[in-house]
Amino acid sequence: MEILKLEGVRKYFGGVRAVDGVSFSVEEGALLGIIGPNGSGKTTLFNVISGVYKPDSGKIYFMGERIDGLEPHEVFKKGIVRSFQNPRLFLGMTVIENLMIPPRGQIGENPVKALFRGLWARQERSLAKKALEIIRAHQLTQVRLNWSGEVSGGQMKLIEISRALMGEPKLLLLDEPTAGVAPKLAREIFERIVKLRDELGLTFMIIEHRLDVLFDYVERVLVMHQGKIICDGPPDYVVKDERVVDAYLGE
Amino acid sequence: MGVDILPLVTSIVTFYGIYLILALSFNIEYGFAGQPNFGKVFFYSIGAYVAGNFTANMLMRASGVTGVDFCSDLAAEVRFKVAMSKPWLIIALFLLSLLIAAAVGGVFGYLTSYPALRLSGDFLAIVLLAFGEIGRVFARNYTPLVCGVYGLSGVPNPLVWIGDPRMARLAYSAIVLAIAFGMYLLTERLVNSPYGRLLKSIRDDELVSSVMGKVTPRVKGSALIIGSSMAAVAGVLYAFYVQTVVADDFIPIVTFVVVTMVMLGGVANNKGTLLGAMVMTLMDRLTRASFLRILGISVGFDISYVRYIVTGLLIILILMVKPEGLISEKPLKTPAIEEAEKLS
Repeated sequence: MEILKLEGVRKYFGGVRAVDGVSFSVEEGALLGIIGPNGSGKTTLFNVISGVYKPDSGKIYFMGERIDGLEPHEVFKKGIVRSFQNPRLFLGMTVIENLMIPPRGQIGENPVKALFRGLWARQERSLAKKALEIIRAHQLTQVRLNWSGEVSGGQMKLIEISRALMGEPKLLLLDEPTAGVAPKLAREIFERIVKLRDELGLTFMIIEHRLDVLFDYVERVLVMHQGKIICDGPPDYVVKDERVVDAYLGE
Repeated sequence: MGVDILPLVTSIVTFYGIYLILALSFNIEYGFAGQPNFGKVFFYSIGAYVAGNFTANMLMRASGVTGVDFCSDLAAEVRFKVAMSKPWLIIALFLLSLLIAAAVGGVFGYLTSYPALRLSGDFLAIVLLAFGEIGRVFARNYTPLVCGVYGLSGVPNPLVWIGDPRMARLAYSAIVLAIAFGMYLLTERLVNSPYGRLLKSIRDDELVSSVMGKVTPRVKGSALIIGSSMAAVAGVLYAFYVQTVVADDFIPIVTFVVVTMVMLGGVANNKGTLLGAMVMTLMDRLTRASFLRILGISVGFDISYVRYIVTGLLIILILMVKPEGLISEKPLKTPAIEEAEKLS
Protein backbone atom coordinates (compact mmCIF):
# COMPACT_ATOMS: atom_id res chain seq x y z
CA MET A 1 0.00 0.00 0.00
CA GLU A 2 1.15 3.50 -0.80
CA ILE A 3 1.80 5.54 2.31
CA LEU A 4 3.08 8.71 0.67
CA LYS A 5 2.57 10.09 -2.83
CA LEU A 6 3.88 13.34 -4.32
CA GLU A 7 2.55 14.71 -7.60
CA GLY A 8 4.41 17.51 -9.35
CA VAL A 9 5.53 19.22 -6.13
CA ARG A 10 7.32 22.54 -6.65
CA LYS A 11 8.95 24.91 -4.21
CA TYR A 12 10.89 27.91 -5.54
CA PHE A 13 12.75 30.54 -3.57
CA GLY A 14 12.87 33.49 -5.93
CA GLY A 15 14.84 32.15 -8.86
CA VAL A 16 16.07 29.07 -7.03
CA ARG A 17 14.14 25.97 -7.98
CA ALA A 18 14.71 24.07 -4.75
CA VAL A 19 12.13 21.41 -5.52
CA ASP A 20 11.15 21.39 -9.15
CA GLY A 21 8.22 19.17 -10.05
CA VAL A 22 8.89 16.11 -7.96
CA SER A 23 6.63 13.06 -8.21
CA PHE A 24 7.09 9.72 -6.55
CA SER A 25 5.37 7.38 -4.16
CA VAL A 26 6.53 5.35 -1.20
CA GLU A 27 5.20 1.94 -0.17
CA GLU A 28 4.31 1.35 3.43
CA GLY A 29 7.19 -0.30 5.28
CA ALA A 30 9.74 0.93 2.74
CA LEU A 31 13.28 1.97 3.59
CA LEU A 32 13.98 4.72 1.14
CA GLY A 33 17.25 6.57 0.82
CA ILE A 34 17.47 10.06 -0.65
CA ILE A 35 20.82 11.20 -1.94
CA GLY A 36 22.12 14.01 -4.06
CA PRO A 37 24.80 16.70 -4.04
CA ASN A 38 24.58 19.61 -1.60
CA GLY A 39 21.83 22.03 -2.56
CA SER A 40 19.96 19.51 -4.65
CA GLY A 41 16.73 20.03 -2.71
CA LYS A 42 16.64 17.06 -0.31
CA THR A 43 16.06 19.02 2.88
CA THR A 44 13.58 21.35 1.17
CA LEU A 45 11.67 18.23 0.11
CA PHE A 46 11.46 17.20 3.78
CA ASN A 47 10.40 20.71 4.75
CA VAL A 48 7.60 20.64 2.19
CA ILE A 49 6.37 17.21 3.25
CA SER A 50 6.45 18.08 6.96
CA GLY A 51 4.54 21.35 6.49
CA VAL A 52 7.42 23.68 7.35
CA TYR A 53 7.07 25.13 3.82
CA LYS A 54 3.94 25.20 1.73
CA PRO A 55 4.56 23.88 -1.80
CA ASP A 56 4.03 26.41 -4.61
CA SER A 57 2.15 23.77 -6.53
CA GLY A 58 1.60 20.04 -6.63
CA LYS A 59 -0.15 17.58 -4.37
CA ILE A 60 1.04 15.48 -1.45
CA TYR A 61 -1.00 12.52 -0.24
CA PHE A 62 -0.38 10.67 3.01
CA MET A 63 -2.35 7.44 3.38
CA GLY A 64 -4.69 8.68 0.70
CA GLU A 65 -5.33 12.12 2.28
CA ARG A 66 -4.10 15.46 0.93
CA ILE A 67 -1.58 16.95 3.36
CA ASP A 68 0.02 19.72 1.31
CA GLY A 69 -0.65 23.11 2.88
CA LEU A 70 -1.28 21.68 6.34
CA GLU A 71 0.47 23.20 9.35
CA PRO A 72 3.44 21.27 10.77
CA HIS A 73 1.48 20.20 13.84
CA GLU A 74 -1.30 18.83 11.63
CA VAL A 75 1.18 16.86 9.54
CA PHE A 76 2.62 15.46 12.77
CA LYS A 77 -0.83 14.38 13.90
CA LYS A 78 -1.28 12.40 10.68
CA GLY A 79 1.79 10.39 11.63
CA ILE A 80 4.76 12.00 9.88
CA VAL A 81 7.64 12.86 12.19
CA ARG A 82 11.00 14.24 11.17
CA SER A 83 14.46 14.92 12.48
CA PHE A 84 16.69 17.84 11.58
CA GLN A 85 19.98 17.83 9.73
CA ASN A 86 21.61 20.32 12.09
CA PRO A 87 20.37 19.17 15.47
CA ARG A 88 17.66 21.47 16.77
CA LEU A 89 17.25 20.30 20.32
CA PHE A 90 15.43 22.15 23.06
CA LEU A 91 18.55 23.50 24.74
CA GLY A 92 16.87 24.64 27.94
CA MET A 93 15.97 21.05 28.73
CA THR A 94 17.69 17.82 29.63
CA VAL A 95 18.01 14.96 27.16
CA ILE A 96 15.12 13.01 28.69
CA GLU A 97 12.89 16.09 28.63
CA ASN A 98 13.59 16.52 24.91
CA LEU A 99 12.20 13.05 24.37
CA MET A 100 9.14 13.85 26.46
CA ILE A 101 7.96 16.59 24.09
CA PRO A 102 6.60 14.62 21.10
CA PRO A 103 4.34 12.02 22.79
CA ARG A 104 0.75 12.59 21.81
CA GLY A 105 -2.19 13.19 24.10
CA GLN A 106 -0.24 14.22 27.20
CA ILE A 107 -2.88 15.06 29.79
CA GLY A 108 -0.61 17.39 31.75
CA GLU A 109 -0.09 19.68 28.77
CA ASN A 110 -3.42 21.26 29.60
CA PRO A 111 -2.68 24.15 32.01
CA VAL A 112 -5.65 23.39 34.26
CA LYS A 113 -4.96 19.66 34.47
CA ALA A 114 -1.26 20.42 34.99
CA LEU A 115 -2.15 21.62 38.48
CA PHE A 116 -3.40 18.17 39.45
CA ARG A 117 -0.47 15.80 39.32
CA GLY A 118 -2.68 12.81 40.05
CA LEU A 119 -4.32 13.22 36.64
CA TRP A 120 -1.17 12.78 34.62
CA ALA A 121 1.67 11.37 36.73
CA ARG A 122 1.01 7.76 35.73
CA GLN A 123 0.92 8.56 32.04
CA GLU A 124 4.09 10.59 32.44
CA ARG A 125 5.92 7.74 34.17
CA SER A 126 5.03 5.22 31.51
CA LEU A 127 6.10 7.63 28.75
CA ALA A 128 9.34 8.26 30.62
CA LYS A 129 10.03 4.53 30.79
CA LYS A 130 9.54 4.29 27.05
CA ALA A 131 11.86 7.26 26.55
CA LEU A 132 14.51 5.65 28.75
CA GLU A 133 14.29 2.48 26.65
CA ILE A 134 14.94 4.47 23.50
CA ILE A 135 17.72 6.36 25.28
CA ARG A 136 19.35 3.08 26.22
CA ALA A 137 19.08 1.75 22.68
CA HIS A 138 20.95 4.81 21.43
CA GLN A 139 23.64 4.59 24.10
CA LEU A 140 22.56 7.87 25.68
CA THR A 141 21.93 6.56 29.19
CA GLN A 142 25.01 8.26 30.58
CA VAL A 143 23.86 11.69 29.38
CA ARG A 144 20.11 11.32 29.97
CA LEU A 145 20.10 14.08 32.59
CA ASN A 146 22.59 16.38 30.84
CA TRP A 147 21.39 19.63 29.35
CA SER A 148 20.85 18.75 25.72
CA GLY A 149 23.47 21.30 24.66
CA GLU A 150 26.07 19.57 26.83
CA VAL A 151 26.54 16.38 24.81
CA SER A 152 28.73 15.55 21.81
CA GLY A 153 27.72 16.35 18.23
CA GLY A 154 27.13 12.67 17.50
CA GLN A 155 24.97 12.33 20.58
CA MET A 156 22.90 15.30 19.43
CA LYS A 157 22.10 13.42 16.23
CA LEU A 158 21.09 10.40 18.27
CA ILE A 159 18.83 12.54 20.44
CA GLU A 160 17.24 13.89 17.25
CA ILE A 161 16.38 10.35 16.12
CA SER A 162 15.26 9.29 19.59
CA ARG A 163 13.00 12.30 19.90
CA ALA A 164 11.42 11.62 16.51
CA LEU A 165 10.74 8.02 17.54
CA MET A 166 8.86 9.24 20.60
CA GLY A 167 6.32 10.84 18.25
CA GLU A 168 4.91 7.41 17.35
CA PRO A 169 5.40 7.98 13.65
CA LYS A 170 4.04 5.98 10.78
CA LEU A 171 6.50 7.67 8.46
CA LEU A 172 9.86 8.95 9.68
CA LEU A 173 11.83 11.52 7.76
CA LEU A 174 15.43 11.38 8.95
CA ASP A 175 17.74 14.08 7.69
CA GLU A 176 21.31 12.76 7.78
CA PRO A 177 20.87 10.64 10.89
CA THR A 178 24.49 9.49 11.00
CA ALA A 179 26.37 12.68 10.13
CA GLY A 180 29.03 13.15 12.78
CA VAL A 181 28.38 9.75 14.33
CA ALA A 182 31.21 7.20 14.73
CA PRO A 183 31.21 4.61 11.90
CA LYS A 184 30.41 1.67 14.15
CA LEU A 185 27.49 3.50 15.75
CA ALA A 186 26.29 4.65 12.32
CA ARG A 187 25.85 1.01 11.30
CA GLU A 188 24.13 0.26 14.59
CA ILE A 189 21.68 3.08 13.93
CA PHE A 190 20.84 1.65 10.52
CA GLU A 191 20.49 -1.83 11.94
CA ARG A 192 18.04 -0.42 14.46
CA ILE A 193 16.13 1.37 11.72
CA VAL A 194 15.78 -1.92 9.82
CA LYS A 195 14.60 -3.60 13.02
CA LEU A 196 12.01 -0.88 13.67
CA ARG A 197 10.76 -1.25 10.15
CA ASP A 198 10.55 -5.04 10.43
CA GLU A 199 9.00 -5.12 13.88
CA LEU A 200 6.71 -2.09 13.89
CA GLY A 201 6.15 -1.65 10.19
CA LEU A 202 7.39 1.95 10.20
CA THR A 203 8.29 3.58 6.92
CA PHE A 204 11.57 5.48 6.62
CA MET A 205 12.81 8.15 4.25
CA ILE A 206 16.45 8.87 4.98
CA ILE A 207 18.61 11.63 3.58
CA GLU A 208 22.22 10.50 3.86
CA HIS A 209 25.62 11.43 2.53
CA ARG A 210 27.38 8.30 3.78
CA LEU A 211 26.51 6.24 0.77
CA ASP A 212 28.67 3.28 1.83
CA VAL A 213 26.55 2.82 4.96
CA LEU A 214 23.21 3.78 3.39
CA PHE A 215 23.50 1.41 0.43
CA ASP A 216 23.97 -1.57 2.73
CA TYR A 217 20.56 -1.09 4.28
CA VAL A 218 18.06 0.60 1.96
CA GLU A 219 16.20 -1.14 -0.84
CA ARG A 220 15.51 1.93 -2.91
CA VAL A 221 17.29 5.21 -3.51
CA LEU A 222 16.02 8.48 -4.94
CA VAL A 223 18.71 10.71 -6.40
CA MET A 224 18.02 14.44 -6.48
CA HIS A 225 19.82 17.00 -8.55
CA GLN A 226 18.83 20.65 -9.00
CA GLY A 227 15.42 20.07 -7.48
CA LYS A 228 14.52 17.11 -9.66
CA ILE A 229 14.62 13.38 -9.17
CA ILE A 230 17.11 12.12 -11.70
CA CYS A 231 17.20 8.48 -10.73
CA ASP A 232 15.06 6.07 -8.72
CA GLY A 233 15.96 2.47 -8.05
CA PRO A 234 17.86 -0.04 -5.96
CA PRO A 235 21.33 1.01 -4.79
CA ASP A 236 23.31 -1.13 -7.24
CA TYR A 237 21.26 0.27 -10.12
CA VAL A 238 21.65 3.86 -8.97
CA VAL A 239 25.43 3.78 -8.58
CA LYS A 240 25.86 2.67 -12.18
CA ASP A 241 23.59 5.36 -13.60
CA GLU A 242 25.50 7.90 -15.68
CA ARG A 243 23.30 10.83 -14.67
CA VAL A 244 24.05 10.12 -11.03
CA VAL A 245 27.77 9.93 -11.62
CA ASP A 246 27.58 13.21 -13.55
CA ALA A 247 25.60 14.91 -10.80
CA TYR A 248 28.15 13.98 -8.18
CA LEU A 249 31.34 14.41 -10.19
CA GLY A 250 30.25 17.14 -12.57
CA GLU A 251 29.69 16.63 -16.28
CA MET B 1 11.39 59.60 69.64
CA GLY B 2 12.43 56.47 67.75
CA VAL B 3 11.57 55.65 64.19
CA ASP B 4 8.19 54.01 63.76
CA ILE B 5 9.06 51.09 61.57
CA LEU B 6 5.61 49.48 61.36
CA PRO B 7 4.52 51.44 58.24
CA LEU B 8 7.81 50.53 56.58
CA VAL B 9 7.31 46.83 57.26
CA THR B 10 3.72 47.00 56.05
CA SER B 11 4.73 48.79 52.90
CA ILE B 12 7.61 46.43 52.08
CA VAL B 13 5.58 43.30 52.79
CA THR B 14 2.62 44.47 50.73
CA PHE B 15 4.66 45.57 47.76
CA TYR B 16 6.75 42.42 47.94
CA GLY B 17 3.55 40.40 47.62
CA ILE B 18 2.25 42.51 44.74
CA TYR B 19 5.55 42.52 42.86
CA LEU B 20 6.04 38.81 43.47
CA ILE B 21 2.76 38.05 41.73
CA LEU B 22 3.70 40.30 38.81
CA ALA B 23 7.16 38.75 38.56
CA LEU B 24 5.79 35.20 38.69
CA SER B 25 3.36 36.06 35.92
CA PHE B 26 6.17 37.52 33.80
CA ASN B 27 8.28 34.45 34.51
CA ILE B 28 5.54 32.19 33.14
CA GLU B 29 5.21 34.31 30.00
CA TYR B 30 8.84 35.15 29.37
CA GLY B 31 10.94 32.79 31.48
CA PHE B 32 9.08 29.67 30.42
CA ALA B 33 7.17 30.49 27.24
CA GLY B 34 9.68 33.02 25.85
CA GLN B 35 7.05 35.70 25.24
CA PRO B 36 8.32 39.10 26.42
CA ASN B 37 5.13 40.70 27.70
CA PHE B 38 6.34 44.27 28.04
CA GLY B 39 2.73 45.28 28.52
CA LYS B 40 2.73 43.82 32.04
CA VAL B 41 1.70 47.14 33.61
CA PHE B 42 -1.37 47.23 31.37
CA PHE B 43 -2.80 44.01 32.83
CA TYR B 44 -1.79 45.17 36.30
CA SER B 45 -3.69 48.41 35.75
CA ILE B 46 -6.76 46.51 34.56
CA GLY B 47 -6.97 44.87 37.97
CA ALA B 48 -6.72 48.22 39.72
CA TYR B 49 -9.36 49.81 37.46
CA VAL B 50 -11.74 46.91 37.99
CA ALA B 51 -11.23 46.99 41.76
CA GLY B 52 -11.58 50.77 41.96
CA ASN B 53 -14.52 51.24 39.65
CA PHE B 54 -16.49 48.21 40.81
CA THR B 55 -15.92 48.73 44.54
CA ALA B 56 -16.58 52.47 44.43
CA ASN B 57 -19.81 52.03 42.47
CA MET B 58 -21.07 49.30 44.73
CA LEU B 59 -20.31 51.26 47.89
CA MET B 60 -22.08 54.32 46.50
CA ARG B 61 -25.11 52.19 45.79
CA ALA B 62 -25.05 50.65 49.26
CA SER B 63 -24.81 54.11 50.83
CA GLY B 64 -28.11 55.22 49.33
CA VAL B 65 -26.56 58.65 48.71
CA THR B 66 -27.48 60.05 45.32
CA GLY B 67 -26.62 63.16 43.38
CA VAL B 68 -23.01 63.16 44.56
CA ASP B 69 -20.21 63.24 42.00
CA PHE B 70 -18.58 59.82 42.00
CA CYS B 71 -15.12 61.43 41.87
CA SER B 72 -15.61 64.00 44.61
CA ASP B 73 -13.99 63.99 48.05
CA LEU B 74 -17.46 63.79 49.54
CA ALA B 75 -18.15 60.57 47.65
CA ALA B 76 -14.85 59.12 48.84
CA GLU B 77 -15.83 59.94 52.41
CA VAL B 78 -19.22 58.33 51.96
CA ARG B 79 -17.54 55.16 50.70
CA PHE B 80 -15.25 54.97 53.71
CA LYS B 81 -18.18 55.37 56.05
CA VAL B 82 -20.08 52.54 54.38
CA ALA B 83 -17.03 50.29 54.51
CA MET B 84 -16.52 51.13 58.19
CA SER B 85 -20.07 50.17 59.05
CA LYS B 86 -20.46 47.10 56.84
CA PRO B 87 -17.41 44.84 57.16
CA TRP B 88 -19.03 41.96 55.30
CA LEU B 89 -19.81 44.24 52.36
CA ILE B 90 -16.28 45.55 51.86
CA ILE B 91 -14.80 42.08 52.30
CA ALA B 92 -17.25 40.68 49.76
CA LEU B 93 -16.41 43.49 47.35
CA PHE B 94 -12.70 42.80 47.78
CA LEU B 95 -13.13 39.09 47.04
CA LEU B 96 -15.45 39.77 44.11
CA SER B 97 -12.98 42.30 42.73
CA LEU B 98 -10.27 39.62 42.76
CA LEU B 99 -12.47 37.22 40.82
CA ILE B 100 -13.76 39.77 38.32
CA ALA B 101 -10.30 41.22 37.74
CA ALA B 102 -8.80 37.77 37.19
CA ALA B 103 -11.47 37.09 34.58
CA VAL B 104 -11.23 40.52 32.90
CA GLY B 105 -7.41 40.33 32.93
CA GLY B 106 -7.61 36.92 31.28
CA VAL B 107 -10.01 38.21 28.62
CA PHE B 108 -7.72 41.15 27.83
CA GLY B 109 -4.78 38.74 27.78
CA TYR B 110 -6.64 36.70 25.19
CA LEU B 111 -7.65 39.76 23.12
CA THR B 112 -4.14 41.19 23.02
CA SER B 113 -2.64 37.79 22.33
CA TYR B 114 -4.63 37.54 19.13
CA PRO B 115 -2.71 40.16 17.14
CA ALA B 116 0.36 39.89 19.31
CA LEU B 117 1.02 36.21 18.76
CA ARG B 118 1.37 36.70 15.07
CA LEU B 119 4.52 38.61 15.96
CA SER B 120 7.58 37.30 17.64
CA GLY B 121 10.25 38.42 20.06
CA ASP B 122 11.10 42.12 19.85
CA PHE B 123 8.02 43.01 17.82
CA LEU B 124 5.74 41.36 20.33
CA ALA B 125 7.48 43.24 23.13
CA ILE B 126 6.96 46.62 21.42
CA VAL B 127 3.32 45.97 20.57
CA LEU B 128 2.53 44.97 24.15
CA LEU B 129 4.46 47.97 25.49
CA ALA B 130 2.25 50.14 23.28
CA PHE B 131 -0.89 48.42 24.60
CA GLY B 132 0.14 49.48 28.08
CA GLU B 133 0.53 53.11 27.10
CA ILE B 134 -2.74 53.09 25.16
CA GLY B 135 -4.47 51.73 28.25
CA ARG B 136 -2.98 54.40 30.48
CA VAL B 137 -3.83 57.28 28.14
CA PHE B 138 -7.33 55.94 27.75
CA ALA B 139 -7.91 55.69 31.51
CA ARG B 140 -6.44 59.14 31.97
CA ASN B 141 -8.97 60.66 29.59
CA TYR B 142 -12.05 58.55 30.10
CA THR B 143 -13.20 59.91 33.46
CA PRO B 144 -16.04 57.43 34.21
CA LEU B 145 -13.45 54.68 34.66
CA VAL B 146 -11.22 56.00 37.45
CA CYS B 147 -11.80 59.76 37.36
CA GLY B 148 -9.16 60.62 34.77
CA VAL B 149 -6.09 62.60 35.82
CA TYR B 150 -7.29 63.15 39.38
CA GLY B 151 -7.73 59.49 40.06
CA LEU B 152 -10.35 57.68 42.06
CA SER B 153 -9.95 57.89 45.80
CA GLY B 154 -12.03 56.20 48.44
CA VAL B 155 -11.34 52.58 47.65
CA PRO B 156 -11.28 51.49 51.28
CA ASN B 157 -8.91 48.96 52.71
CA PRO B 158 -11.09 45.85 53.10
CA LEU B 159 -10.09 45.71 56.79
CA VAL B 160 -10.78 49.39 57.46
CA TRP B 161 -13.49 48.42 60.01
CA ILE B 162 -10.77 47.17 62.40
CA GLY B 163 -10.57 50.80 63.39
CA ASP B 164 -6.86 51.40 63.91
CA PRO B 165 -5.62 52.18 60.38
CA ARG B 166 -2.11 50.95 61.22
CA MET B 167 -3.40 47.56 62.26
CA ALA B 168 -5.74 47.41 59.28
CA ARG B 169 -2.80 47.98 56.96
CA LEU B 170 -0.66 45.43 58.75
CA ALA B 171 -3.40 42.80 58.58
CA TYR B 172 -3.97 43.61 54.93
CA SER B 173 -0.28 43.22 54.14
CA ALA B 174 -0.41 39.74 55.68
CA ILE B 175 -3.33 38.86 53.40
CA VAL B 176 -1.42 40.11 50.36
CA LEU B 177 1.62 38.09 51.32
CA ALA B 178 -0.49 34.98 51.82
CA ILE B 179 -2.14 35.40 48.41
CA ALA B 180 1.26 35.96 46.80
CA PHE B 181 2.71 32.88 48.41
CA GLY B 182 -0.32 30.88 47.29
CA MET B 183 0.36 32.14 43.76
CA TYR B 184 3.96 31.02 44.09
CA LEU B 185 2.88 27.50 45.03
CA LEU B 186 0.36 27.42 42.19
CA THR B 187 2.96 28.64 39.69
CA GLU B 188 5.37 25.95 40.85
CA ARG B 189 2.70 23.30 40.32
CA LEU B 190 1.77 24.75 36.96
CA VAL B 191 5.26 24.73 35.47
CA ASN B 192 6.66 21.54 36.99
CA SER B 193 4.49 19.58 34.62
CA PRO B 194 4.14 18.64 30.96
CA TYR B 195 2.63 22.11 30.48
CA GLY B 196 5.81 23.77 31.74
CA ARG B 197 7.84 21.55 29.44
CA LEU B 198 5.58 22.49 26.55
CA LEU B 199 6.11 26.21 27.26
CA LYS B 200 9.87 25.71 27.35
CA SER B 201 9.81 23.86 24.03
CA ILE B 202 8.24 26.92 22.42
CA ARG B 203 10.76 29.22 24.07
CA ASP B 204 13.68 27.08 22.90
CA ASP B 205 12.56 26.41 19.31
CA GLU B 206 9.03 27.21 18.25
CA LEU B 207 9.34 25.62 14.80
CA VAL B 208 10.52 22.29 16.18
CA SER B 209 7.78 22.41 18.78
CA SER B 210 5.17 22.72 16.04
CA VAL B 211 6.84 20.00 13.97
CA MET B 212 6.46 17.86 17.11
CA GLY B 213 2.72 18.41 16.99
CA LYS B 214 2.24 21.38 19.29
CA VAL B 215 -0.29 24.08 18.40
CA THR B 216 2.10 26.83 19.43
CA PRO B 217 -0.10 29.94 19.00
CA ARG B 218 -2.70 28.42 21.29
CA VAL B 219 -0.11 27.52 23.92
CA LYS B 220 1.49 30.98 23.82
CA GLY B 221 -1.99 32.47 24.15
CA SER B 222 -2.68 30.34 27.22
CA ALA B 223 0.51 31.61 28.88
CA LEU B 224 -0.52 35.22 28.21
CA ILE B 225 -4.01 34.59 29.56
CA ILE B 226 -2.66 33.06 32.77
CA GLY B 227 -0.03 35.80 33.16
CA SER B 228 -2.51 38.61 32.52
CA SER B 229 -5.01 37.16 34.91
CA MET B 230 -2.36 37.00 37.65
CA ALA B 231 -1.22 40.57 36.94
CA ALA B 232 -4.81 41.79 37.28
CA VAL B 233 -5.05 40.12 40.69
CA ALA B 234 -1.91 42.04 41.70
CA GLY B 235 -3.63 45.22 40.48
CA VAL B 236 -6.60 44.61 42.78
CA LEU B 237 -4.28 44.10 45.75
CA TYR B 238 -2.53 47.35 44.87
CA ALA B 239 -5.74 49.37 44.56
CA PHE B 240 -7.04 48.27 47.96
CA TYR B 241 -3.68 49.01 49.57
CA VAL B 242 -3.11 52.53 48.27
CA GLN B 243 -6.89 53.14 48.38
CA THR B 244 -6.63 55.32 45.31
CA VAL B 245 -6.50 54.41 41.65
CA VAL B 246 -4.65 56.83 39.39
CA ALA B 247 -4.01 55.99 35.73
CA ASP B 248 -0.63 57.69 35.80
CA ASP B 249 0.67 55.20 38.36
CA PHE B 250 0.76 52.63 35.58
CA ILE B 251 3.75 53.77 33.59
CA PRO B 252 6.21 51.51 31.73
CA ILE B 253 8.87 51.64 34.46
CA VAL B 254 6.64 49.34 36.54
CA THR B 255 6.96 46.71 33.81
CA PHE B 256 10.71 47.11 33.72
CA VAL B 257 11.07 46.79 37.48
CA VAL B 258 9.22 43.48 37.12
CA VAL B 259 11.36 42.42 34.15
CA THR B 260 14.46 43.16 36.21
CA MET B 261 13.18 41.00 39.07
CA VAL B 262 12.91 38.01 36.77
CA MET B 263 16.24 38.66 35.05
CA LEU B 264 18.01 39.20 38.35
CA GLY B 265 16.57 36.09 39.98
CA GLY B 266 17.06 33.93 36.91
CA VAL B 267 14.57 33.14 34.16
CA ALA B 268 12.40 30.03 34.32
CA ASN B 269 13.15 29.69 38.01
CA ASN B 270 10.48 30.67 40.51
CA LYS B 271 12.87 30.52 43.46
CA GLY B 272 15.01 33.07 41.67
CA THR B 273 11.88 35.16 41.23
CA LEU B 274 11.30 35.12 45.00
CA LEU B 275 14.79 36.54 45.45
CA GLY B 276 14.72 39.00 42.55
CA ALA B 277 11.36 40.36 43.69
CA MET B 278 12.76 40.93 47.19
CA VAL B 279 15.81 42.86 45.98
CA MET B 280 13.83 45.00 43.57
CA THR B 281 11.02 45.68 46.05
CA LEU B 282 13.55 47.08 48.50
CA MET B 283 15.08 49.16 45.72
CA ASP B 284 11.66 50.37 44.67
CA ARG B 285 10.62 51.36 48.22
CA LEU B 286 13.93 52.95 49.16
CA THR B 287 13.80 55.30 46.20
CA ARG B 288 10.60 56.97 47.34
CA ALA B 289 10.75 60.20 49.28
CA SER B 290 7.63 59.34 51.28
CA PHE B 291 9.25 56.12 52.42
CA LEU B 292 12.58 57.72 53.33
CA ARG B 293 10.85 60.45 55.28
CA ILE B 294 9.53 57.87 57.74
CA LEU B 295 13.15 56.83 58.31
CA GLY B 296 13.99 60.47 58.91
CA ILE B 297 16.11 60.67 55.77
CA SER B 298 15.78 63.49 53.31
CA VAL B 299 17.88 63.96 50.22
CA GLY B 300 18.35 67.20 48.35
CA PHE B 301 16.96 65.95 45.05
CA ASP B 302 14.03 63.98 43.67
CA ILE B 303 15.04 60.47 44.70
CA SER B 304 12.45 58.78 42.49
CA TYR B 305 14.70 59.22 39.46
CA VAL B 306 17.29 57.02 41.14
CA ARG B 307 14.85 54.18 40.55
CA TYR B 308 15.15 54.56 36.78
CA ILE B 309 18.93 54.73 36.92
CA VAL B 310 19.29 51.71 39.21
CA THR B 311 16.84 49.63 37.16
CA GLY B 312 18.65 50.42 33.92
CA LEU B 313 22.07 49.78 35.43
CA LEU B 314 20.94 46.49 36.93
CA ILE B 315 19.60 45.24 33.59
CA ILE B 316 22.90 46.06 31.89
CA LEU B 317 24.97 44.57 34.72
CA ILE B 318 23.01 41.31 34.78
CA LEU B 319 23.33 40.92 31.02
CA MET B 320 27.08 41.56 31.16
CA VAL B 321 28.07 39.68 34.31
CA LYS B 322 25.49 36.99 35.00
CA PRO B 323 23.01 36.61 32.15
CA GLU B 324 21.54 33.45 33.71
CA GLY B 325 20.59 35.41 36.87
CA LEU B 326 21.44 34.76 40.50
CA ILE B 327 19.91 31.28 40.50
CA SER B 328 20.27 29.45 37.20
CA GLU B 329 17.60 27.35 35.53
CA LYS B 330 17.07 23.79 36.78
CA PRO B 331 15.35 20.85 35.09
CA LEU B 332 11.61 20.83 35.78
CA LYS B 333 10.59 18.64 38.69
CA THR B 334 8.44 16.16 36.79
CA PRO B 335 7.92 12.41 37.19
CA ALA B 336 9.95 11.95 33.98
CA ILE B 337 13.04 13.35 35.69
CA GLU B 338 12.38 11.18 38.74
CA GLU B 339 12.22 8.09 36.53
CA ALA B 340 15.48 9.08 34.85
CA GLU B 341 17.14 9.62 38.22
CA LYS B 342 16.07 6.17 39.40
CA LEU B 343 18.37 4.55 36.84
CA SER B 344 22.00 4.45 37.79
